[in-house]
Parts: sequence; C-alpha cells; structure tokens
Amino acid sequence: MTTSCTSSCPCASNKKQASLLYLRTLQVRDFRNYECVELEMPSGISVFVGDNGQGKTNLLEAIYVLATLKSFRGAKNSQLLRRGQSHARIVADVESKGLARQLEVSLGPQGKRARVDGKDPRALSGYFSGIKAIAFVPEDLRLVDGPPEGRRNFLDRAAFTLDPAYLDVVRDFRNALNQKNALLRAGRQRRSPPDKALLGVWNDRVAVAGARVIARRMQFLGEFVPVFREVHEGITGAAKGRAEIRYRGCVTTDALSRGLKGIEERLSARLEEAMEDEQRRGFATVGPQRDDWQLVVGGEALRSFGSQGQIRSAALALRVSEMVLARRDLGSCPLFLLDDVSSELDPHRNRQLMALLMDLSAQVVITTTELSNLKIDALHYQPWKVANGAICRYNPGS
Amino acid sequence: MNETQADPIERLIHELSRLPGIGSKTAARLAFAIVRSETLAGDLAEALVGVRDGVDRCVTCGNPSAADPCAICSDLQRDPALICVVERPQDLLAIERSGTYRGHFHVLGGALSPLDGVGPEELRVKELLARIQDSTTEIILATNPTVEGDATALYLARLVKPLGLLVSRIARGVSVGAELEYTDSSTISRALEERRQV
Ligand SMILES: Nc1ncnc2c1ncn2[C@@H]1O[C@H](COP(=O)(O)OP(=O)(O)OP(=O)(O)O)[C@@H](O)[C@H]1O
Ligand SMILES: [Mg+2]
Ligand SMILES: [Zn+2]
Repeated sequence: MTTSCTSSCPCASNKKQASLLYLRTLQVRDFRNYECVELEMPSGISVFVGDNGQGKTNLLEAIYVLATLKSFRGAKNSQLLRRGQSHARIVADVESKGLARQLEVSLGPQGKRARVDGKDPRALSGYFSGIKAIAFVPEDLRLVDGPPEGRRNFLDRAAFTLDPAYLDVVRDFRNALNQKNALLRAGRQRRSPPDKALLGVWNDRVAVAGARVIARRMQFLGEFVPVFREVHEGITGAAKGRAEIRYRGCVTTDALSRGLKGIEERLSARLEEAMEDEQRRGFATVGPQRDDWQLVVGGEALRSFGSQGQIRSAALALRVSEMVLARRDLGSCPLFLLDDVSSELDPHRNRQLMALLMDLSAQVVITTTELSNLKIDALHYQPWKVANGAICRYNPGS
Repeated sequence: MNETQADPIERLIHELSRLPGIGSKTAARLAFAIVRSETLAGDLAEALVGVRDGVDRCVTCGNPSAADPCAICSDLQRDPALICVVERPQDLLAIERSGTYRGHFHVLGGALSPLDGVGPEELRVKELLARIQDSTTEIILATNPTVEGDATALYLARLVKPLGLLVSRIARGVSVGAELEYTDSSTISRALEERRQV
C-alpha cells in the first residue's frame, strides 16, 4: 500500500474534492448514553475506539438517524432517548456539493423532526438531498444468510437511493396489494370467496404495479451487479470465483429478460393461476412481495455454503457497492459508517477494504474495540476514544 | 340544558374548524372576517339553511341538487349519448369548470376500496347500468388516477363493455396520484380530449 496521503486523509482535508459529502461537526444531546458530545470531524477516516458497551455503536446510530431519520437497529424513538429524558437532538454542519448547511433532527414524544438551517424543509426530499449515509453493521451479515425480507428491503432501498421516483412505484404496489389482501381477508371471514370479477380487477392492479417493481429491481441489479463483482473481487481477490446475484420469484428468469410488458404478462398469468388458492387462504401468495435474491460465488450459494469470513466479505461488499454506485450516479459520495471492525476479516481483506475506502475518498466513521484491528497507516485516520458516553481525541502512544 | 353558553365567536370558530381542510387558525381568520362584515353572516346563514333544506340528490346522476332531475340531467343541450363517470360531486364540478364537456355525468359516490369496506354495492354501479339506454354510445371513466380509481375504472369497463358501448378512460394528463378536484381546468380539458379506449 502507498503511504502518500490521499485526499481522504485528515491531514489533507483542505484538498477535499467538491463532490465530497462532508460532516464537519457533530453535536449529540441526550441520545442513547450520550448526554452531550460535540465533535469536529475530519473529512477522511475517523476511528472510534472503546471497550464493549461504551457507546460506539450509539454514536454511529446518531449519525445514521441524522442521515435517514431511521435507526439501523430498527429502534423506536423512545429507545433512542437517553434514559429519563423526553427529547434528544442531533445537529451537524454538513457540506455537500460545495453547499454548507446545518442539519438537525430532534426526537421527542411526538416523533422525529428534521430541520435545515433551523427551518422546516418544504419537503423531506429537500432534507435528504443534503446528506446520505450508508452503514455496515454486524446485523448486515443477515443480508446474506437471513430471511428474505431484509434482502428485499436492501434492494428496494438501494434502488430508491438512486431513483427517488421508485418510491411512488412501491407505494402504488403496496396500495394495490393491501386492497387485494383486504378483499381476500373479508371473503374468508364471510366464508364466501370474493367475486372473481372483483378479485380480477385488483389482480390487474397488482400485476401492473408489481411488474413495475420487478422491472425496476432488474434495472437496478443490472447496474449494481458489475459494481458488486468488482468490489467483491477487490476485497476477496479474484481467485474465489465470480460473484453473482440471482433474483428468484414470481416470474421466471426468461420473462425477467423480456422487459416490463413481458414481466406484466407473466405475473398476470401467475396471479390468474393462483386465484383459487388465494381465495381459499385469504391472502395474496404470489407477487414481488415474496421475491428473493441470493449471492452466489463461484457457482455456490453463500447462504448455504459460505464461511463466516466469506459471508462477512460479501455483506460488506454489498454496502461498499451501494456507496460506489451512489457516488457514480449522484455525484457525491455518501458517508460510510462501519461498525465494529474486528479481526473477523483476515488482514489481507481488511487492508483491501481500507484501500478501497480511501480510493473513494469518502468520509468514513469506523468503530472498533482495538486499533490493531485496523490495517491502515496511522497517518491516515483520526483516532477517538469512547468511554461511557464521553469522547475525546486519542493518542495510542500515551 | 346549556348552563354556560359558549362565547358566540368561539362557537363559530369551533364549528368552522370541523370542516375538512380548515385548521383552528384558518377557522379563526374566517370567523373574524364574518364578524367584521355587515352582510356576510346573514348571507351565509341563508345559504347554509338553503342547502340543509333544499339539497337532495338527483336520482339519475347522483349529484347533489335541489331539483330532481338536476339541471345537468334536464339540460336538453347536452349530449345524451355520453356519460362521464366520476367518483364524487367535486370531480363533476372540476370537469364542469373546465367548460369543454357537454355530455351527462354519473357520480359513483367513491371508488372501490376493500380496506374501507367499499365494494360495488356501496357505489352507484347498479344505477349506472340501469340508466344506460339505446341512445347511450360512450362511457367516459373519469375516476381519479389512483390505485383505487384505476381499479374502479377497470371494473366498470369490464361490466359495461359487453353491452356494446364505447368505453374510454380519461387520459393521464392528470398527474399520477393527483385527484381531479385539485387539477387545473386546462389539464382536465386536455385529459378529456385525449381519452383513450379501454
Ligand atoms: N436510551 C438509552 N439511554 C441510556 N443509555 C443507553 C440507552 N440505550 C443504550 N444505552 C447504553 O449504551 C450502551 C451500549 O452502547 P453501544 O451499543 O454503543 O456499545 P458499543 O460501544 O458499541 O459496544 P460493543 O463494543 O459491545 O458493540 C449500553 O451500556 C446501554 O446501557
Ligand atoms: Mg457496538
Ligand atoms: Zn342529475
């Protein structure tokens, strides 16, 4: 690895590219185990070191909540407030595409409220355009070997990040599906199946909207897979074999390649076939809401055959690829939050990962229990010490 | 018995804020405008009593009206061959305001929505089938371009088509998910002109 400073190095923050998304300061109040911390962040890599249970993940969670208004742990608002407190606040000065803004999220009993420069944004999209973050947390391993729901969410969220209009597509589909399920449920409760003509109408809406969901997922995977393959190879080395993503679901592979119309026709036919079964069961059993995808490396499904290390590399590669794609398509690189870097990745893979992140010149926030887990030159990052909800600059030497 | 009568202005604000789309601030602004004006209160009161006592529904098209059949249904200048189907009276008004349509209307009273327990029986579907006559040549489906409106249009299209009628759907000049009521007149005119067969 080279030892020269890249633009992502904290010591070279003034060489920062205009396209970089840069969280300059961070202020966290009454969030989880933090009463009040204020940090000035370097534009490159920050590493938060601390023992178990000191608040490392909590800090990443605060940044993630600021960027997405959601917790990566799926925590409810009340869990995020410091015990005994009724309000929490996360504030940051963020620079994006050359524009400096102050973003603020306040959490209270009524929910979350986002502000830009102290004012309510006209639309939430105005808020989100100022900040993007991608997190890799230990739970992400479940993307590879966990239940399908997480994988569908990953796909839909990543597709949405690149194309906000996808949200409307998903919403239409959800509406149609909920209506159809309500009809089926009512039929089951009355013990008389819904009228076929009526069910057929909702099936038609599910097919039209569902086909758009599937087509958009296909389009996204078309862009994503080549990037993923490259990133995965970068982390693991080419020797392990080509990485693939296989989408499986309500529509056969050959129909998937026939575009929106082909998908819609096939889905329509599948819904028609399933009609009686669905009437009997009282809920929808066919559609993209049940589709899944899996990671295959060198012809083998990682879910069934992957080692812990392979699964971890693949999950990490998924998140890093999201970054690479967002950087390419949005023109600014999201913040990368990397929780709990441990010795699970072998030193070679670890080093490859760090090199990759530095190449992206992303702002990166890493947490670890041991600095020695990191394979980066000490020149290239700013270390911080986390102890019991307090954070200070850290000199490993002293 | 009301022992303590509410302050009349407060009561007015309270009643106004029960209307859809009116928050307490707007209600207060309206109330003070009414109080300030010499004639508004009287005129409004008269109009309000007028709708309470005089407005019913036209049995033919389902639009609220004092007379039955309503002014539109009894207008001989209108083309009896065309029936435009809308969800709610507000949608009919929006189309009327656009000024280009010269046929008849049919107000369904909503759209299919199993989640809200609304099926064909809850809408004025039977009434639509009943009023289709030999003179009817085209049904224009102008339900909202929402998932529910689209499903309703498709349901009606499949029902009416076997009767040998031309069935068309209002074009999607109306932005996706937007409701007719809030769409401007020229967009509605264009959407009607560009309607396509289904
Ligand atoms: N709402 C809250 N109010 C106060 N303290 C909280 C709250 N939620 C969590 N904590 C505390 O935060 C601590 C856990 O913090 P965190 O998950 O960030 O640890 P960590 O440093 O990431 O540890 P590890 O290395 O084990 O992952 C626990 O001690 C917990 O009691
Ligand atoms: Mg942790
Ligand atoms: Zn009438």
